Amino acid sequence: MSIYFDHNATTPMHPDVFEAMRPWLTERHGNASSLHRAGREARAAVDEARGLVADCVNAHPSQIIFTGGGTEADNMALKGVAALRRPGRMLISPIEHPAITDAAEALERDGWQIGRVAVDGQGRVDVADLERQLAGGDVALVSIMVANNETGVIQDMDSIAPVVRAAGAWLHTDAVQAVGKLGFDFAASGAHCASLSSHKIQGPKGVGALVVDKQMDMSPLVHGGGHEQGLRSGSYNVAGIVGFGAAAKRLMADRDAEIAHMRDLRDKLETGLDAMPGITRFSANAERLANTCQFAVAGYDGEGLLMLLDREDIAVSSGSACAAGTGEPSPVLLAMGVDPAVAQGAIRVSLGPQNTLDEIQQFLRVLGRLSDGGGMAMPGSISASVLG
Amino acid sequence: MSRDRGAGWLSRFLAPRHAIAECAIIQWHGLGEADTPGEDAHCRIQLACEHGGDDGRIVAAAFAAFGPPVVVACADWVCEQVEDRTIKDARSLNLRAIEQALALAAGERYAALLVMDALDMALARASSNLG
Amino acid sequence: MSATRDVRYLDHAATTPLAPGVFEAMQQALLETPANPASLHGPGRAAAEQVEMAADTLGTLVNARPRDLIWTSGATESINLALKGAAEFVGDAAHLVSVVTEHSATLDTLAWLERRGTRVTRLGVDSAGRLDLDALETVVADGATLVSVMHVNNETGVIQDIEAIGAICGRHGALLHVDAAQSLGRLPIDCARMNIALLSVSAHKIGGPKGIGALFVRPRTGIAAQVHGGGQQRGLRSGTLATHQIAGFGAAARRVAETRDSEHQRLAALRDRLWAHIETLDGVMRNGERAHLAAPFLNVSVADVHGEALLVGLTEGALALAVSSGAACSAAKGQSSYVLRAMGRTPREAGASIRFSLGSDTDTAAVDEAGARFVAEVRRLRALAGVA
Repeated sequence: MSIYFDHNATTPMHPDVFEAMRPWLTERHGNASSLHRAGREARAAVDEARGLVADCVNAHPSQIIFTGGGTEADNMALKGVAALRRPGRMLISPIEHPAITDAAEALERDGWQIGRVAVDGQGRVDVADLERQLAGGDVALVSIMVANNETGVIQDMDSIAPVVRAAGAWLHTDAVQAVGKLGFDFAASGAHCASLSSHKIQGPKGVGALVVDKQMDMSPLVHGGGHEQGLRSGSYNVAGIVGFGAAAKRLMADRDAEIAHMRDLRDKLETGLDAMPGITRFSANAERLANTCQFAVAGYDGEGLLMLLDREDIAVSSGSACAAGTGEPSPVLLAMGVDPAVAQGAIRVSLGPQNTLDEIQQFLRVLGRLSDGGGMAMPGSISASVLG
Repeated sequence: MSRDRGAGWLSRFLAPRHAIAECAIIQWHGLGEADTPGEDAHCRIQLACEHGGDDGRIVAAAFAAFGPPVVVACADWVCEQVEDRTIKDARSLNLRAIEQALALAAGERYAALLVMDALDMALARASSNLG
Repeated sequence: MSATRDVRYLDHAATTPLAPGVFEAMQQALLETPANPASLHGPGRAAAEQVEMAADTLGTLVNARPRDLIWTSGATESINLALKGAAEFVGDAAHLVSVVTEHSATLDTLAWLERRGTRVTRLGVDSAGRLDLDALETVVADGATLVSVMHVNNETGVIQDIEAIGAICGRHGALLHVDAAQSLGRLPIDCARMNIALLSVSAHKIGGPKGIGALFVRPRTGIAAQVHGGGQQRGLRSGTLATHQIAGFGAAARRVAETRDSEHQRLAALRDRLWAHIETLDGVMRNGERAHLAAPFLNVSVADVHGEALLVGLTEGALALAVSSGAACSAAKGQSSYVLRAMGRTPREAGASIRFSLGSDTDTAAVDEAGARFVAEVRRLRALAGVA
């Protein structure tokens, strides 16, 4: 049995999505900017997909700016705002995706002051601290993700948004993980802009979007031809965008059932984990995405455990795929105050709608067997104890 | 450019019925011309009439046009409208009528104005030449 | 090509249909290697392997090492990365040199950099669209950080002498960036021999999918990343790699390596045949000299017709031609071609110009029909205008 438990890293493309894309990869190949018939058809397909993505997140089609992915959308939000003014302050949570943290660090090198808002031991943003930091003034933008990709923790955007708006700052939220596993209502969120990613909702990789409130002044990151209302130039990836639209449409129909299914499996997984010795679950007491469970096994290095599981044909991740292979404990867990030695052992299970109870049971069996191996120290865990 | 609209007006551009080049008439009684330099557009309307005066019947109307397709479409439509009408009736044709009949977008209205200017001149000349 | 709609597609410079084998390669990647290539587990490694294979193929095509290729969302993004990356890396002393006939991806990016204080020099071209190499050398000798030139112009097909330009850059210590979006697969490109430091390419101009491109970055060429977060691709361009897109690009590159030379002969002959039809008209001018035009391109300016009327007349109605007037990317702005004006055409001539770009599905019948259709439409419009 080959088990894929890494849906937060990416999801397999849904067959309906592929079928929607097929004509745009085969006979209908026009450039959406061309004025002839083939071009206009392609343009119409892009606009239809735009409407579907907008519907999925309760935004207006004119608020959807297509990008090359969620990472690019995150970069656009921060750098697009920064480019229009002299360096000031921005606030981010310390548990953001590397796309936000690294973009913020790049801005720091340009003279921006990036403040990190405190989070509690569960990873929830401390709204009082946010207010305090905002009170310092000159905050251009706050970026706080709706739901975290590692622990799955969900932020209280209903409390966060009013506070940011009252301070006159823009609010950006990375909704990449939330759309598929929680739902995201842009209009109701209070955010001024939000990042979306197609391949997290069974759409194609290489396409994302930044949802942008018209009030926002933003500079483009990619110049050349002025596409997407001047905010994102470049020939349209027609098939990819059509795929994104199809994925959004399909999701709206199936999401509730999928969330219920994933939650059921995830809860059973956690029941099983809680019965095993030496397991620490992260953000266990906070509201989390229905599909995500990040935990550590005492005595095991996360990447080492990942490899052991991989040998058993089970795919999980340790921390974000984006930071894989760095050998460092997850900054998200460290920000939550988790002991580095414990954080070093973290692995993440992120389920998808196709996962089954059999797979959960197989996983628990394998994990039980591995961790029963007399608490065998893995090379990584030796270094963890050296760090300890 | 708004070629997504009005299949009606596009087909007038592709197959106009009142182009001067296709017209066998050699005796014209009224000729009017106008330009819209900003759009690099020019229109000429030619009228052949039974006789002069307000009740003279227009037996043939034809156009020559250089410019964006909408100009050709407006000129063709206007010629079609004034054929078989008296000079007086033809004068009552107004901008709104063209705009509505051809569903012109805001950016296309100059074409209606251009053609009306050419028509007004042609009517005035036809009336005075024969009257 | 849509036979059902009675259209002849002669707009390959705008975009191309997928080449044989490309769709299958993409489908296979979607079905068999759908994981995130940055993931450490088995499925992730399988996806990474697909990416490496494509890099191998593309690298061979341009004589570059696979590991020196950065995947992007398209040539527009590659160009942005090359120019902004180089300017940012060098800082205030940066001096970028380019040509007035470049694609808007280059010109808009240079304009943005200039507004932020970067020194930019734009050289003109002669009536054949060619750069004066002595003028270039004078500017470069005076101190240039980077020279950016398109190998083949997207509107006219004019070829610049990249090898000579590379030698000039080499003599004076400047970096050479080549926008090869229109030359990949049409002309030989040798990054080593041509002294190219940065090369931007796009898949959808060579029978690959839209939404994927690449930037070759020669080792020790300093550029600052523009999209941060996650550190993929040596940190030069973060974001999840779209395996299926890259596999498609690789398949297209493989095919074009096989067909490039024979297609060059075939298309040059067809293009000459098309010109022979069109030349029967009075008052038509061909833009660019045959000796320096890439084989598939024919750009003609027509006297005594209005440009918009000509384009609509050709692209609508029975036996429509998919052609373009000016670049697809700037068509929406309704500007008459700045490229043709730089070559000395009047605004009206530049506006009344049509670009034919032939390709894989163009045959003798298509060329004869297109030629006849073009001649007939020009005559029709001239008659409508009362021109003899």
